[in-house]
Amino acid sequence: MKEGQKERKKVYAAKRFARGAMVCPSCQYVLEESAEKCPKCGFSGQIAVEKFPFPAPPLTAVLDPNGYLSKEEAASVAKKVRKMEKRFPQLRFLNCLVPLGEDVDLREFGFWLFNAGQMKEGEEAKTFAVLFLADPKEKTISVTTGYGLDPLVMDTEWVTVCEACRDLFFRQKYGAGIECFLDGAFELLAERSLALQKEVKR
Amino acid sequence: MRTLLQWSLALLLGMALTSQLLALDLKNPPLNRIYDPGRFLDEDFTTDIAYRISYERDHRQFEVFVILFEEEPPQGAGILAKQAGESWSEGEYWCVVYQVGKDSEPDCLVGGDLMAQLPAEELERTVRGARNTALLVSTPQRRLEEIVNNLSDEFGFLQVRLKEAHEKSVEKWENEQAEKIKRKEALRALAAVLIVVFLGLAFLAFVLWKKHLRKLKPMMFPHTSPRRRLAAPFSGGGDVLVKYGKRH
Repeated sequence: MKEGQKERKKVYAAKRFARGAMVCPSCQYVLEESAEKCPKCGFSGQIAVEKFPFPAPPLTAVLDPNGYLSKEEAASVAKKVRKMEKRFPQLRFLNCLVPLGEDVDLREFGFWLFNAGQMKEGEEAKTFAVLFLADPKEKTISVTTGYGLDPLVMDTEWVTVCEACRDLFFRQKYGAGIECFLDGAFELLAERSLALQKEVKR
Repeated sequence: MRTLLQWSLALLLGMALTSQLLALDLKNPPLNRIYDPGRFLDEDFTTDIAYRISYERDHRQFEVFVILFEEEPPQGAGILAKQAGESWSEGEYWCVVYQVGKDSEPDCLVGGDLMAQLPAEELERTVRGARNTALLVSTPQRRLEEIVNNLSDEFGFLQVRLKEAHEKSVEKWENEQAEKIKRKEALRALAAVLIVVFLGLAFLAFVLWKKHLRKLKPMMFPHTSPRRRLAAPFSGGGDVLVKYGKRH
């Protein structure tokens, strides 16, 4: 058991698993590792904080300040999240429905919220967190992940999962849409987890 | 007194001669299997009866003996006839037709392993029937011939009948065996089908277990060194943006 724990805590080089390129959430420029700011647009954590100059809300399973979800829908999403977090003890699933302005890029907002928001489990929990964002006003969906999942799942794979649910969002079935995303995420992450476990054993 | 002694000696000599004539060689059957020291049978009857006896022996393995005693032997004609039949025959099935004196009624007896397979009552009825039918004939020689013929007719096919019965029983046994083999093969086929089904189900269960295994046990990801960027402590953001402004 101890050996197993040790094995799980072993840290691998991200390069070993890295699948996709790192891009700037603001201009989508391909970044080099440890770039303090985007060489193209200058975007960085500091810029993001300036862009959203208000306190970030706490990150929870369901974040719906404008009440797009009914109580039942919110409860159902929370239940699904709990189930998924049982299956993936490292992961945290955060779902946020927030209407943003026309001039706000959901990827930038996600970047800011993920880094600035607090989690009751502590900052460590963010490493393997998945933040799902939907903007009912601008009709966009986005996903932001922590550094733990960053090299393991490509952006294009998250896009595919999101695309499978956009019809539900179009019909304003936000609760079902989020659950659809969680189902797709489960499939993707389960497949990836098994594949990585095999790869790590090798 | 001397005369009486002379008569007694003559009588004893006569009895000795008679007993010599009556003596049966139990080791070897007589010529043509007809023992007729007194020559009671005419040559024609002897030939006919001998022919029938020979035919039965050669074609049906039925052994027939004829014994014509001149006088009643001391141990009894029936007993001696039985001893002769048992001694002369091969043992499978035989009959002895015997007669004491030239004109008395002939009698008969049967024996052998095959005969023993017939029910005793049926055997007795057949023997008596053959004898009694023969007795309806008037002349003694013809009676004798008749009883030989009747017995041959009755028992000549015994071996064939028993063979047939044996073949039937063998056929029945073979059929039963074939049925058993068929049943065994059917059971084997069924067992094979069940094994295949069982293996198939086991494989299916394995596949399902494997497929749903991930739903049963916690799934983990390896820890990697963070690719920190853009001065962000927990996430470098990404390029995931999907628009759902129109129906897809």
